[in-house]
Amino acid sequence: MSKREIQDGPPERDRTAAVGAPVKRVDASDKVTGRAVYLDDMVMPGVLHAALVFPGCAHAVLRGVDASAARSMAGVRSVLTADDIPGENQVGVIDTDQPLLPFDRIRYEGDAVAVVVAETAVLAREAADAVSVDLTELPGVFDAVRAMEPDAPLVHESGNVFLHDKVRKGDVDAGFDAADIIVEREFRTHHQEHCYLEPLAALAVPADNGSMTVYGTMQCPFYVQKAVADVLGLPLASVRVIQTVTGGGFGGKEDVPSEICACAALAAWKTGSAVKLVYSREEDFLRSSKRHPMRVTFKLGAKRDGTFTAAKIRAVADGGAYTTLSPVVVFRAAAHATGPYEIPNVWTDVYGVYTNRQTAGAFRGFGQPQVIFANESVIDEVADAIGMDPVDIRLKNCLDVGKRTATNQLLTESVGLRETLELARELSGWDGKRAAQGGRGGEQPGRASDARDHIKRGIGVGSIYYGVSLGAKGLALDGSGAHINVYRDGSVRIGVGGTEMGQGLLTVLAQIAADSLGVPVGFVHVERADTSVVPDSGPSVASRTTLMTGNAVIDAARKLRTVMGEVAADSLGLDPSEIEFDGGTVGSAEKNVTFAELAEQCWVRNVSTAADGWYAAPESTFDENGQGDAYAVYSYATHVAEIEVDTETGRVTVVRITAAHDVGRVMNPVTLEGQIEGGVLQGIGMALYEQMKSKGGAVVTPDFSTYIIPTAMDTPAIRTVFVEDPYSKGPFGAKGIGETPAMPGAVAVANAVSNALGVRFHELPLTPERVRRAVSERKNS
Amino acid sequence: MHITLTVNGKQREADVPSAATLVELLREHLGLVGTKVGCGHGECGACTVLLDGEPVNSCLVFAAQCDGREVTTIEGLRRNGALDRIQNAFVDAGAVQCGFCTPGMIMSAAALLASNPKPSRDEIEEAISGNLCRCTGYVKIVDAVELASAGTVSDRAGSD
Ligand code: FES
Ligand code: FES
Repeated sequence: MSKREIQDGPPERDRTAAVGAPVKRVDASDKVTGRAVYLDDMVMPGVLHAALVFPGCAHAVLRGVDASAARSMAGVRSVLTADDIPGENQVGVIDTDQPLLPFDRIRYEGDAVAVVVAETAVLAREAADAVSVDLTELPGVFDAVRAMEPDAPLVHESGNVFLHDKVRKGDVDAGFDAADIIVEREFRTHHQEHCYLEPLAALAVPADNGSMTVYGTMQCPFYVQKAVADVLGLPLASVRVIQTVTGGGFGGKEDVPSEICACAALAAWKTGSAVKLVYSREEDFLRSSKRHPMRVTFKLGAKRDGTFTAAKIRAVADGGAYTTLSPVVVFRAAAHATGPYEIPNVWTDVYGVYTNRQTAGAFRGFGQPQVIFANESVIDEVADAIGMDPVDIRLKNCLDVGKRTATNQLLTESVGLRETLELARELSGWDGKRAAQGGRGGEQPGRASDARDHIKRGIGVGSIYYGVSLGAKGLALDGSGAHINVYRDGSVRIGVGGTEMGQGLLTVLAQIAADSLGVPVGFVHVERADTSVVPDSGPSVASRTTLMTGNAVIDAARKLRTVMGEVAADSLGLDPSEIEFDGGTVGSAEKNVTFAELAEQCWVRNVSTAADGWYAAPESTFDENGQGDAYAVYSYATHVAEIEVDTETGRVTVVRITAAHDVGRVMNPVTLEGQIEGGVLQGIGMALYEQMKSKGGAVVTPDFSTYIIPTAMDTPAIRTVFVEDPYSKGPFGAKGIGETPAMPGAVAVANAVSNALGVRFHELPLTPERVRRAVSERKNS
Repeated sequence: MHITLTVNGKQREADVPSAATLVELLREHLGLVGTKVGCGHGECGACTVLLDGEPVNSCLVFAAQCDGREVTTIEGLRRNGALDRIQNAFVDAGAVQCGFCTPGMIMSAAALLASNPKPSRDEIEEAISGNLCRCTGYVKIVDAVELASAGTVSDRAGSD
């Protein structure tokens, strides 16, 4: 494994004991014993239960809600509609086009029109079913390309096309003129569902003074705080949001929890009682956001030696009924549409379009996996046409220090893409396996592997880059805080705004804090996010939390070292410059005290041992032509997939994935590897199984028996390898890792199937029917 | 209706509606919330418990069917406050992320190891194939079950 030395060094301290070590997860014991308290495990005396009333159609004029039958049922406490909202009927996080409860128009099947509150959850559900909704149905639009036509039904009066981001670099016509080969194809991807195992859930607890505490499973407590305050007409200081142990997120718990939490809070405000609202899996599938379906036309020009000369992309993203997070998703798709390559001439248009389908929002990769499927497929076709190896053509064009992205951003550090390609090639045995294609038999790609001559093998590659954190279109949200409190016995408690959703944040932050204060990890306890502890720290999304919250922890620790170091210097008779914090002791090699003794000394002297830390993202830009330093830094990855495909049944089996990731610096190899393995399976899901289907806006895959995600039987051998090309502004050199594992896998699998069968695929997932059809079309042609 | 059953070695009684499922009995009447509900329809395995030693989806079993029988839940694996070997193995192998699938996963593993103390990786994958996990990619979960079967795990007192 190749590991570069840290050149610039981490921002603060370079001695690490905890960072980089396989520290056991701090929350694992509670989770393996069943003691971890998820939202629905919370017990509160006198709690009421809420249920939502759904419209039963996707597009309609809402004339009225008749809740008289429900209200008269024993045990029903209240039925709330839009009329009951004391504040603003609005939960949209970026645009204000999404009412909490619709008042005049239904725009998708999940648009709940009323909240029923009752003494039990069963009763609330029964009463919700007894509410009648007066609707006049309207023709709907369920396809984004159709929605762009002038005569399409309007989802919002402002028009269906609500976003258009572009990138204009160089002279794209001249670039295509200079090309020896041009390939242009259209690609389709569909709704993918997050399938976090814990469905959305919220508990709102009102106080007599009018304030509201909301507990929930979520990624972004500050979004929830804002939505609840807006809906109830309360100042932010009167709304406290506490994240409970969260059973997965993957983007699905970014903005969507604002809706369920605001519904619970509205019900709690109205009844004066604590109210719990827990979605069934079906409700969760209906009402949660999805990965945007996209239609992408990709045109790529290259010289005969493989050098890319120009790329032109047009992508249409189905945003569903409301804006939600589409602006950030479309921006990200536009900025990254050409993949991690230097291309001198680029012309990209990405549109966001309303339809009467479920809202599309954040999902691991954030708009990129869809365009990656296009760009990484077309590259393989170009490579095929000029007889070049797919890894070679990527190496020929890949980004590196000194190269420029599609937004014309000059990359100055921490670009480990080339190494991920080289490592993935080497560790997967790419050269031997790929070279044998169509060749000399035996266990080779494209050939019968044994007597089962209907089984073909293939190998494929996919490379990606990912702008870490929110970038130019999310700068206002891009600061994060941390609060460190050192107690008189030297134990340390840390409050943060970033959230643990399963990815291992609490553990990694404990490691960062331990090394920043020179104490063992066991001294440090990191609390889950609570809006009352730190300033608005933005969302836990976009692979930003280790970077942002980690740097905030480092900032707070730096302040504590200064203050506590002065006390140590004074009591030890040393100069403050001689003071080191290391291994649980403070001072010099000769004269020192333990960290715990120093904490006690500070306490005796009335010196505060609490400190706040803050980190704000560096400036980034994206002008009207899509040019600028779009993100401060990028993470890179390459996956190689090896597959077997049964040409009779069309079934694809992923045999092995080699996943090489440039993460800047490994914080914890075990949690990192786990995050990558989980992402690999989500990529396989996108490649082979997952499509949330709807008909006329009604979901026809409402549960896990119809929406299929990978099981343990689908897990291939996974080899992960880390490239550490440190980022000078990252905590100990780290960049983000949350998204990238789920990004290159799907197209690597698709490219491998193409390698096996000699046919290209332009739509995911590669279901057995789709594969069989491709095989028979090839036979017939 | 009135039900008497043995849960985690102790005799328990409860009055439940006739349509109540075993998971409702456990979570809502007996306060055993370690068993999770991910779907409510027998599709995710999060609610897996042992009924007379056999793994079942407790969301599919009626509480009434459990009268006079023996149920083991995730809370029943700890002995004298210490984690059992499968729980320790899950911690050691890094098999836990969000943790929502974990109790059910561990109960499926417990059932497997009780009947097949030295399973192959394929057998482990098959035994947990009814337990969905969206976070881990299953690799470290299979590692954990292998580790537990080999018996080389740490001892952990747990958090009490
Ligand atoms: S909750 Fe029982 S199988 Fe999903
Ligand atoms: S650890 Fe999250 S679902 Fe398994």
